[in-house]
Amino acid sequence: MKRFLTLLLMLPLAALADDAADEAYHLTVKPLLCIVDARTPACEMRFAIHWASGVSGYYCVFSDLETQALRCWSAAQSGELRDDRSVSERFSYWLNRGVGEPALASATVDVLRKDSDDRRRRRRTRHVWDIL
Amino acid sequence: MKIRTACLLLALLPALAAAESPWRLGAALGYGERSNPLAQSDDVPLVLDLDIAYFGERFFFDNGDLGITFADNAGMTASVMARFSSDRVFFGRTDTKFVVFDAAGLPLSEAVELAIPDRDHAVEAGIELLTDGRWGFLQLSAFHDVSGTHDGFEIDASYGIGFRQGNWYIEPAVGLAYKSADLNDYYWGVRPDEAGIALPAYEAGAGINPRLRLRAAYYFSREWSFAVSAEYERLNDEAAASPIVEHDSVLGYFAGLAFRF
Repeated sequence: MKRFLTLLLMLPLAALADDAADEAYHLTVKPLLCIVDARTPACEMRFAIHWASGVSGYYCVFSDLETQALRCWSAAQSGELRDDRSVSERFSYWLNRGVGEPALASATVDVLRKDSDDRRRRRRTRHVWDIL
Repeated sequence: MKIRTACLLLALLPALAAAESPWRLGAALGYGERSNPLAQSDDVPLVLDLDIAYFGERFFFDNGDLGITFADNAGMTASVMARFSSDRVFFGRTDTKFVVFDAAGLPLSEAVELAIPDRDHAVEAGIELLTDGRWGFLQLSAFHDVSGTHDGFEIDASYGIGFRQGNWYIEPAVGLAYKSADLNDYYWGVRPDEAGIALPAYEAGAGINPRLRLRAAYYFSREWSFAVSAEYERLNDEAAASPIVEHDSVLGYFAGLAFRF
């Protein structure tokens, strides 16, 4: 119980420490959400990807959807690219130093399905004040 | 590393629960109102909207509706259901006033108490048929009072379709609700023992309530959205002509920040 409480108290500190470690690398992707339903099962999206690092070097941007890097930069501290995709599943972009290297920063594109696989959920709509 | 994993698990718990759970939970905090068509009544305010639903293999609970699904296939979902009557909601927010004019607008010699009659909740049981496709969704239902409150029935049909535009999801819908004479008269009629100088007796017949609804949500993420909703319902002529009714329609709206677990 004591260890659990200690762990709970340390969670915010651990989060702060992680933030500090990640500060050196930034990867931003816009947009980050695709909404699909039965009528539009995929989103045609153009992603604006931007990365920055505190240290100049060789960096690549990868995605879950391809084995090859989308683009690599040499002796760079930042970079931008555009990526056009048809999206129907959740996936991530990440920044690293080349094939097989660990991810330095990542961003996940989420997919919100307005249609549940459960037909009752999908077909039912709430009564008077159904707003969610 | 363990702490980082624990943080990650804690962050992922809601998503994991949502993926596995038969529960659907959500809440929206904002402001809205639903107008009250009754005379001497207050509008129904809405600050917090909760979405609580459970979908088991056959049994389900969806925000006050209880049901058992007996057919569910690609073409149709059919369930037997139980619910509370929707018309009762307006009678919880009425006031008693003293008036100096009678129902015809003629002056009275002294102030007379005018109270909107009280009405009870009714438990209704029935059947619901649902279908959907690329063309939208269609819902048909028929409910009959099983609590001995109004002994009437209601048949409802509604159609809607959803549109996606970027992070917006917009869903217009239209509907018709047929209310039997027994149901209509229980809620909107005035019985002889309730009548007085300021409130004449009235018997309501059957009628149809048409309605329009528009829901829209802007999604910031899978969980968070800004939701707006508006609904207009026209009371059937028999209800609208009742002496306890001041407005012949009901207008509801809400805007707020919504979270889906």
